[in-house]
Amino acid sequence: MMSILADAKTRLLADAPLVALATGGIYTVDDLGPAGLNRTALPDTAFDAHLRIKPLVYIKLRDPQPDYTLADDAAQIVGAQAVVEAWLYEFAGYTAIRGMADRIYRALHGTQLPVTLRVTWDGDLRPPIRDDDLDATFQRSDYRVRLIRRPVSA
Amino acid sequence: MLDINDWLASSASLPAAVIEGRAVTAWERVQDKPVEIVVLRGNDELDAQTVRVETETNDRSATGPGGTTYQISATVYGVRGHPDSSVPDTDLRPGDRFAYAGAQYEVIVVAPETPGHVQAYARVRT
Repeated sequence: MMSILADAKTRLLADAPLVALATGGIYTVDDLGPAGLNRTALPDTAFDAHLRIKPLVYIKLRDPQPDYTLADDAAQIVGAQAVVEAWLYEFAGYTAIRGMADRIYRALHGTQLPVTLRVTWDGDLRPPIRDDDLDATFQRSDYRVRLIRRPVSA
Repeated sequence: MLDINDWLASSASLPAAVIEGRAVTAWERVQDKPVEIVVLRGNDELDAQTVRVETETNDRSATGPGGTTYQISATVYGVRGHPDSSVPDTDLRPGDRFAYAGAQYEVIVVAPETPGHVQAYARVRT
């Protein structure tokens, strides 16, 4: 399942305008230590000289759930859906966030990743509050990923 | 007999000499443990200032969607109205931010009515 995140990150890194906007980087959980986005762990990459967060993207995977659009009990195959969450951060305002969200939409919506079926935009969530600990504005953009779960080799 | 109204009027503002004396003492305290900071106000960097920073022991950690941040509180001490004109007034306002020793400081409140010195309470994030 973690290859979905790696593939999504690869797709995003291939979008030059997105990389230009996300000056703080594009991360998955594998890129970050136990503290995640943290000023001590990432002082020069995700944060500026004043330790304010730079515009960045942190993508996560919401665990897949079966939807049984496909099902083959004998072969232990089942259709499922997972959600790639793109958490977008910047210090203040939403200018960079909107730009990054638009580029991510272009990179993912209506496409497929190497290990998945169709990927579609599943909505944005923009709470009217700051992340007080990261001292940032943020938005989450969700992308629904269809996939087929197969059993591992015996 | 003491006239209470006269007394209230006389204590409404401290004599200038008293304020200057407080500023001298405040600056001596800053110089005991001086720290040079560059404050970011909005997107504007202010000139470097010398203050004293004292952190509290009320640490906490918070884990949000982005990761874990460790926070403590701090008090930033400065000076105001020093008789030596080469010692500028400390300029801090709520919302100001600065980086020091690998942590981000955000000024939450500047204590009012502190003649001769500046006392600002800050949130520290690491």
